[in-house]
Amino acid sequence: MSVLFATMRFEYSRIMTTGRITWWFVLAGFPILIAGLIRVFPLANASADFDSHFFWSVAIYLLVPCITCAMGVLLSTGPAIATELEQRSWVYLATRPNGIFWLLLGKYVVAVAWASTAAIAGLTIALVFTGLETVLQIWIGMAALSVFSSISYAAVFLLVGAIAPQRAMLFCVMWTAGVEGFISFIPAIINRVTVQYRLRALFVDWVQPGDEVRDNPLFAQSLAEGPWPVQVLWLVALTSIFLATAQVIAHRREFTAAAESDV
Amino acid sequence: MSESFTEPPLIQFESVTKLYGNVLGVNDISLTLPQGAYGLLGPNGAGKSTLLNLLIGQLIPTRGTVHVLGQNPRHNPDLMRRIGFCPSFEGLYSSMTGLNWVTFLLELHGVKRCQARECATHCMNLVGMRDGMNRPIAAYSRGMRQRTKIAQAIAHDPQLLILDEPLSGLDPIGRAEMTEVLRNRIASGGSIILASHVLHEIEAVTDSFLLISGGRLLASGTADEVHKLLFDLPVEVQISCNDPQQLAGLIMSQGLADSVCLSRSPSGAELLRVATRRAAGFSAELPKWIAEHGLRVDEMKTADDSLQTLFNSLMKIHRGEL
Repeated sequence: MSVLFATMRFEYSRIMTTGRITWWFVLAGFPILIAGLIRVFPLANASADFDSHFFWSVAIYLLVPCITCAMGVLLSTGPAIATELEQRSWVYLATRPNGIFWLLLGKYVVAVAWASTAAIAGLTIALVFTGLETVLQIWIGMAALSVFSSISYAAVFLLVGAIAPQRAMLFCVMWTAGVEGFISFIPAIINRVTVQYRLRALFVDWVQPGDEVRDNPLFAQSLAEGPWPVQVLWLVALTSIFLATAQVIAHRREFTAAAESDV
Repeated sequence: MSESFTEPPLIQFESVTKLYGNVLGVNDISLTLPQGAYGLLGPNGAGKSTLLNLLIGQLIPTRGTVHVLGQNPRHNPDLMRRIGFCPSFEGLYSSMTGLNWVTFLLELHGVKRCQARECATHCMNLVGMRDGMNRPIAAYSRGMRQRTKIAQAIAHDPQLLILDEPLSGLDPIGRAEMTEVLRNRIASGGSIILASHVLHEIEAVTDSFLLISGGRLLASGTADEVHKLLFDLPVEVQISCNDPQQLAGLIMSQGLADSVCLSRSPSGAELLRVATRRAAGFSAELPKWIAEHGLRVDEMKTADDSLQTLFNSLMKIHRGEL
């Protein structure tokens, strides 16, 4: 366990750069900016029976657990292997006992913490703009969703980065758009193994945005059935599988220490 | 180098071939080495880095098996505790201090933080980084980075140190200091495999070497052992005299030379290069010709005992020139 803490401490000291700290603020600021804009420029075609609780719940869900968390972990875990290979530091870690295992786990935990804190900071301030009375309930639900979203997406991107380290960011974006954005809405068995399918069910359960979600034809067919503990177990299982697979791939592949020109 | 071992061999290659697609990295190498210090010698692209990557388990042989200290190096945490590796490239985190970097790598071995820090400080001092260890690596000169790389390799006191071009980028003082560090490790019973294409770097550390080229092991052993293999090869003699054409004619007329070549030195003087398998007869006849024909020999050089000569000869054999 001390090795994991050492890796986390090392990763934290590495990411405490001006650039990465700026990114943290950009991520945290993103939902605040959008929520602020919505507040300043209200929807022109809002009807009289406009349900602001439903609207803000869905908006904050899309802005924070979906976009901010996914973007945050994508920046950290997607290129986790690629950056070590590109700067040729991989071999120093690979020649330590279980060095790669601890490296990936440490990067994963730090990425989750980094993205979650940015998301929760952004969520906290963005909720101020909503003007809702049920802010605390939404905050608790969204904060929990942010943590689960970061945990799950970090594992997904770590896996994608292990499969395709040379084009990690590109494949992560493609995965997000194709699998999480499109396949998760397909009413078939395949959408059950997507993170978004489970997160949506947790969102409806914990934030309770209103019946409009279940009445919406797009969501109605793509919401997971069952109580929230089942959805959490699904997320934990999916995350474990993604993480384990990423570790296996990173250990089995030949990531050469030498450059292509070095034989 | 065949001897009975009471402990597992340092390294054991059995018909090891490594292919990168169609490119040959190493080609059918079989080798068993007891514990000790060895220089891995070969030109750029000879297969040194591939061989070292096979030793540390980063590459999987396409064919054959590799054992280091009696164990398969692939996915072997126990073995990684006993190996220290210094790659030829840098790959250091520029924002970190050298001390923090070495401390972290020690912590990956399971060493407690305070103990790791103490040990890393000792190693940074050992490699002459006392003043620079707390500065960011970005501010290091190439030599300081090289010293830091060596520090991280020796910090956990490995049984086997694998070094790829460890002295490149160091100034003469740095080379001497690092050579001393390596010699001390050998003297205290540590094993070392040192890859380089610079002969005197290896000669300064050990007289046992492996010579590879084109992915093949050309020779192994001490310089003396390899010389014995070469006793039947032509000896090259380089002569600088006042009339090299006449001397060349005399040598050829007596049939004592396999080849004679006239060339110019960088200073413009004509040089006569003679390759002969009858070195004794040649040495006996040469003074007579000089005396009889009034020749003046300014300089005469024969093949010396340096590794460079061995390397050149073996490379010629490998290319089919001898």
